[in-house]
Amino acid sequence: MVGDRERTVEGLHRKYAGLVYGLCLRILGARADADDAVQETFLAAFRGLDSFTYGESHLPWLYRIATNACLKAIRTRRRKSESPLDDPGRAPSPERDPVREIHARRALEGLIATLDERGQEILVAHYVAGMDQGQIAAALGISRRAVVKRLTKLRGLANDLWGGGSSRE
Amino acid sequence: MSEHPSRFTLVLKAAGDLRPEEAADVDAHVAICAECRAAAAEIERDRRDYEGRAEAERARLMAALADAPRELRPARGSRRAIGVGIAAVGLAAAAAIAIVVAVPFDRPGRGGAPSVAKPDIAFKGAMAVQIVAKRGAHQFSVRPGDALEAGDALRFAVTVPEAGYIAVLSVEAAGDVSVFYPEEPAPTAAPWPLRIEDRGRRELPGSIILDDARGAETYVVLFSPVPFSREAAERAASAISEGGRELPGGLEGRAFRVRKVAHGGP
Repeated sequence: MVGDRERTVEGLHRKYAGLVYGLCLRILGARADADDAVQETFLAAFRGLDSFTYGESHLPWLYRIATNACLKAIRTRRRKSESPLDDPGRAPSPERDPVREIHARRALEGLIATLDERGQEILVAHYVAGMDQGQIAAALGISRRAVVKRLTKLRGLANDLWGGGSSRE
Repeated sequence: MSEHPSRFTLVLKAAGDLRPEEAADVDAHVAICAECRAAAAEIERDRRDYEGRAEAERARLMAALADAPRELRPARGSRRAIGVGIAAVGLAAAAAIAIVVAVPFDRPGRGGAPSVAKPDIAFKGAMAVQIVAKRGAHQFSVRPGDALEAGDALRFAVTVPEAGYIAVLSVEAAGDVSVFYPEEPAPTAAPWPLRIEDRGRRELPGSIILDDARGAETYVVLFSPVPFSREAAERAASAISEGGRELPGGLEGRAFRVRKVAHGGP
């Protein structure tokens, strides 16, 4: 029997899954991994539906869950010593430079390994999800001041790794 | 919109989660910005990529939910999700302007200095707020229009008509918003605002020490019987600081506009 919670999550999936997938794909690189992360995201959303307290958009909340699902996948991948590879089945696009993306993703994973969990979330939120400071603060439930402080520390590292080209500030 | 919207704002736009005027601003910018057009196109391309197998993925999800073990399911009677009706969009970056510290304030019955015992101003016949400043040994109630100095310690007391949630924010003249309460870091799994367990008066913990930034500043205290988001609070604070009377999401607010001046200034 399908209950209210299942129906709610199904509706969220219908509306947001493609956008959550975009985030997961940017973090993980491979479609299959991104698909799994999307599944993990909506399963976690089902578990945590009662904790949703953000504004009328569920997207910041889902993005945060998705980020953590992807970070977990990266940790698992690292334990298995797998390399982050681009997906050969992924549709090519004129705006994407596969070599640069692979390099950036490896750099991202290298940087993630040096950060605590909050730092990882902020890194992904800013440089991958493309959130501005206010959006990060709202999504993570911390002050904008704390975000600024963290980003200042991250910015030098990230610019070294990405040449300053991955964020839209 | 002259600046690039953040990528996440483009995603919110794609989701249809921006307010109409914000969506129109984004559209207008994207129409003239190749970079943002490319980012928006990439977002749509990824979404279309997923849509091709979305039904199958949804079926996989629903099957997993149907088989979900008991521990995946929340306990009966748990709290329902609460939203406050504010679109999720970014605001201008805020400057760091104050810190929360413990400063001893005089209490009622401990001398002649004004205390924080009685609220100064009621709002809508419901919430009441008092701000008390301490400058050296001098302690006084803050009134709208007062001049405050760097180093002044502020203490907030609120009287609420029922159990609920509060937040205290500051809006500088440039529109930058900072949060005084709840203090960071907020527990991310819990409702963001400060919980007030019962009706009546509360003094908020610690004091706000003003920095040396000068100019107009508005302190905004928000109350709601239900939890609200930080984003909603920031929007409401901006609205009330600009003279707005109707706050979104059923929030109730009280604003104190003060002037921050140099030490010994007018």
